[in-house]
Amino acid sequence: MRPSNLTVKRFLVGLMLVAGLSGAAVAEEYENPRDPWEGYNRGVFAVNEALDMVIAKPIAQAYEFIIPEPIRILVTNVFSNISDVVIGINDLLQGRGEQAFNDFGRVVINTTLGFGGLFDVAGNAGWYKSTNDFGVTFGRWGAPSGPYFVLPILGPSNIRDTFGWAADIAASPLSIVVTDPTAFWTAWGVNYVNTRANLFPAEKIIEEAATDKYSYLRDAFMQNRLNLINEGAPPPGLDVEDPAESDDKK
Amino acid sequence: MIRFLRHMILLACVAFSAISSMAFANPLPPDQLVKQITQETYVYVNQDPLLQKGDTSKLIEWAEKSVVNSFDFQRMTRLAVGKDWRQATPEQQKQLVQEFRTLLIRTFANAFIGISKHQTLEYLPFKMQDDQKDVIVKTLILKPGKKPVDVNFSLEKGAEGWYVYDVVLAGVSLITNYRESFTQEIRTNGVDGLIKQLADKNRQAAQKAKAS
Repeated sequence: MRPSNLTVKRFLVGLMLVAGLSGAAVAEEYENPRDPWEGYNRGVFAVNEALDMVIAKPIAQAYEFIIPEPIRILVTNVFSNISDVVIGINDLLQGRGEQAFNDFGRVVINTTLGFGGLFDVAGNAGWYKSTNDFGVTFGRWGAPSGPYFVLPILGPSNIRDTFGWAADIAASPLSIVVTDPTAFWTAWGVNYVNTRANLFPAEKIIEEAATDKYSYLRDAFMQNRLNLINEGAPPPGLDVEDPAESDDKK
Repeated sequence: MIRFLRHMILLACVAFSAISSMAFANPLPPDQLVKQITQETYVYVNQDPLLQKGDTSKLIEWAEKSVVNSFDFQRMTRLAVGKDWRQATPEQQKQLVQEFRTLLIRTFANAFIGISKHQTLEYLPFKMQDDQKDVIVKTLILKPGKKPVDVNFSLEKGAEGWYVYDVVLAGVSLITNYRESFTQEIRTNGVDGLIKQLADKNRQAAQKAKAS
């Protein structure tokens, strides 16, 4: 057993306990059937927002200020190259051979011609990066999402995607190659800060668009995950009809 | 140099589409309309360094006079509010549309400024039947080194041409994404509560824009 996996497991068990305890204690006036743990979730969301404001965001801002953009792009590319391996594995698990060819092809091209993933040579040649992870695979295999679930620090998730996230980490070349926990979590931290800095443009859009940031992010997360699992097709059962045109229904 | 050339080509496209839409009274087909809206906005955002730094107010002012006419905000509001739309009085419905429209135009403006730097929009092949009244036009935002983001525009045919009624970014509808939160607000504070929430949000954003 690798140390990093043990840490993840302890972390998850802790989460489940916290979720179970506080979820039961909170009663909401309007209950959203897709978010039965809303009380707990809003609590963790508020803590995450506060932590982000005092820690992650200032660090990401300093990072953005100190490290020039070309270097930040290299950092993004390296982690992106590592994640392409996990994406390819999931393509295979879902039986999408052509996509797996594209995504493993990216790894081969970028690791060699792109100097260990520093440059996205493949992307520039039309082998575009895609999205995939174990959460999507579990979904396609028929696992239910379970309730919406805000993870400490990591943010929006659900039960299925929490297990998916743990599997993503376990399958990542990073946790296989980097066995020293300190080195592993340092790399993880750099990736987190770099990703956070990449989110600055999206942040402004969300801040100005959302009337309630919690539910805006929650519903965007749910729509996005459903879309990935259904491969762009409208998910069955999602109510998108126009109320003015459907007076007889419901 | 390449950037300059690309701008010239875009300008030429926009000029051409503007002329062609003037020359023929026929409404533009939906894919052409989406192309026109996005390219006009792209050119407008990129000709002004202030806009690229995030000054949305100028872009909003410009959009109000041009591309916004091709959006159906009435339908967008109905879609966002969902079933509770029918319990709103006509006056409340008018206010909802007005406030939601302001919010959406600001969101679209922010999104466009966010995506326009060093990025290109690819228009995916579009096919439709002659009698179709509801279509989806698909595009991709491409950025070197990043995964492409799919942006789909839903359009419906109205009396005077096609109107955009939904914009879907990476599977997330910028319209129906509000439904749960609007429903929650209406169930808790009524339709007037939602109108007030939207108006407050718009006022805050306007003040912030002025301050910065």
